[in-house]
Amino acid sequence: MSDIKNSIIGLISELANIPKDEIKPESELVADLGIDSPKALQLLVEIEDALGIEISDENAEDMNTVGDVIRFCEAG
Amino acid sequence: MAKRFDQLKKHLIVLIAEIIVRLLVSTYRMKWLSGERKIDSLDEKSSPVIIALWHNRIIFLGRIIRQLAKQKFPVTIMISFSKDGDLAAMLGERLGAKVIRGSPSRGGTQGLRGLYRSVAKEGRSILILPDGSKGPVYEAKMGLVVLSRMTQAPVLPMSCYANRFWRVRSWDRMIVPKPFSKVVIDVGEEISVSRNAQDDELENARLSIEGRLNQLGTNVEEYFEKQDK
Repeated sequence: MSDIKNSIIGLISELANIPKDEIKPESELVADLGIDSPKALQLLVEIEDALGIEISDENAEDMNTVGDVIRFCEAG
Repeated sequence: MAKRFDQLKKHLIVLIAEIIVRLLVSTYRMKWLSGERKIDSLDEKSSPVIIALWHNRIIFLGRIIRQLAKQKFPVTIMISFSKDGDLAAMLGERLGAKVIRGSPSRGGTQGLRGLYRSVAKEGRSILILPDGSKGPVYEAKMGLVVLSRMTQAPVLPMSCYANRFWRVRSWDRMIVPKPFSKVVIDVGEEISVSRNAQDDELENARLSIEGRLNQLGTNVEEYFEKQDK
């Protein structure tokens, strides 16, 4: 597992209170993991700070699954 | 052409609304129960705070935004993407606030990110209606608490009431003080949220904000009840 993938799953696991091994790339952030707006804010800010990248509102809106987040961050 | 006419119509409505709000607010006789010095002392050098009041007190926002703009204290407000929100956003900007669009039901993450950036990157403060934009009434949303934790800006709860007012038939039964009414304002102690707060502490902070806002609401209502006796 890549470092980025690992750290993103770690962040999501902490925010959603769900064990890491239950978080799959196809898991839906809202429907499956309960990532609501306040949690999404924390996730995006923590990813930006940890990886030193900027995620635009448009890009954030396109992130529906864990895989979407990982792909964006790995590409950035 | 039709779009331009719509825009023009919106600007005209906002201009009229601004004149009404300014005129109405200028007739109020203000009485502070506490916190006047705290609000008066806010200026461009002050650290950011998150000023919170219930949605049905939204009309008082105009008064607060104008005062803070005069004191050069930069504030940001979040307004929903609804049609009413379009007009409220234009009005908010005209009164001197920066406006971020979003609400828990639409554009919530985008709105919260905008508020977060306002505080963390621009050093602005936030005026927030924690039970907005559609309620339930008097129930604070968690977004406010998370914003406070992440920015370390304390929440400053506030409430207002008037001796004579209209009640709008909205979900929150909004209050609009009548012209020349006496308006009472009360500001509570700041509530800080620890940077390391866990879920249960965040929930406690949320309940604490709700409790403080409700207590302030009781204070301002009781002020007039005591006057009547």
